[in-house]
Amino acid sequence: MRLTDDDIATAGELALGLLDKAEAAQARARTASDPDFAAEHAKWNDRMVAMEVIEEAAPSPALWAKIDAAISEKPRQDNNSGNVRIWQGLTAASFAIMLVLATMLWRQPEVTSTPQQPQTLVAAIGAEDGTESVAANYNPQTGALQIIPISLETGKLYPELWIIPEDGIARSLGMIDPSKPAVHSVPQAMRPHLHKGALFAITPEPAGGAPGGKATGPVIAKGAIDTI
Amino acid sequence: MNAQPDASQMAIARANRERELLSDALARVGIGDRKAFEFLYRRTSAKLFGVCLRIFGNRNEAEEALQDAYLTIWNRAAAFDRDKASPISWLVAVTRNKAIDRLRAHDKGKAVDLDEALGIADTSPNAEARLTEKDDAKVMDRCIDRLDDRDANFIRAAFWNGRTYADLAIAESTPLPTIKSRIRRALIKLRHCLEGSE
Repeated sequence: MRLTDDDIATAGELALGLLDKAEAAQARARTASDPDFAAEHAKWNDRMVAMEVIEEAAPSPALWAKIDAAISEKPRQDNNSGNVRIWQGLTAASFAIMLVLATMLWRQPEVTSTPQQPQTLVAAIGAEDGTESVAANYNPQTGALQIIPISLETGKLYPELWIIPEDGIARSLGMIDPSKPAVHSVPQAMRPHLHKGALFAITPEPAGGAPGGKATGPVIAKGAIDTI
Repeated sequence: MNAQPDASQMAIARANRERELLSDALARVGIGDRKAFEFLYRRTSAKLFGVCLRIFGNRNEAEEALQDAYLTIWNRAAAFDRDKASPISWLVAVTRNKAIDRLRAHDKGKAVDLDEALGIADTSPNAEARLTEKDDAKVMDRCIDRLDDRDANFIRAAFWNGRTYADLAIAESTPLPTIKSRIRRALIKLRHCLEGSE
């Protein structure tokens, strides 16, 4: 589809970083679905770079050694489509909007197949200081749990997700990927525990998960399940 | 017939070779080739450090931003698509975005000094110092000349200083919708001029 002047301006605003976070998230979502818009967005970056003289300058010779020491053994293969970045950049307010949007997108295929729409459950799993770590939404009908990492740092350890229902006992839901959104299938036995009011928690654990199914790390993020 | 290629043809050939070289290096970095990563660093760090200096204006901050940028490049190189972007544009975009994130994290809560931001951008571009081909530079100069000076500076302040509409509106004591429609118009004008359909 041919882009209108409005589209061109929006692609430019996105490239220039002029938009607020919710608007930017919306425009970025369009770069994923509309190749023309994505191309226009990329061209704006080129145009802005061409607009300015960038004087080359050598960084200090010691910098390479620092970078060489800091990179991981293998690249993490961060997804460049922007998903993770968008989620990381969200504020609490726009986060709520995006959570609803994400849930709607995710539910779409179901609309036709299920006569009665299942109640989707959501949770914002966050740290003590109020920063969101992970957004979760759960479809009780199918047992599909979507995990959207926002900002999750576990150092050398790996994040493990737990569900804590009213009995206060933490049950492992497995390891989660801190780098990109993923959909997990919740085991049948666990499904009754995922309901409104139950608590998600995340702890840092060794590779492969907490030994013996008991958390060894501190709870770095938690959040109660709610309906939307 | 003149068998001797002229200077501009040679410049284009050189630019194409460089593009191939960097695209190949990025592809290898994407599969975890550290040698290729070092090659890429040697080849591009002066340019990308220039980007960081343009944004921070102080070497220490700029070096930290540059380090951030190369870590991101290491982790994200596999997403580079040589059919869709030039390697240097991609590298500059990653670097600029990381540096602006860092700048915004710093500036949180600080008063916006737009004059300072605009002051840096006040020099007019020098076509010879550009990496892009000469003809492109000429077109860019001509198109920027057609913009209102203030609009051109707003656009620069947004891209290079991380100013949002809200920042610009406060700094200019102008309602946000006014700033927004002004900049949108300028962007459309600039784009049509650059793409030759003015």
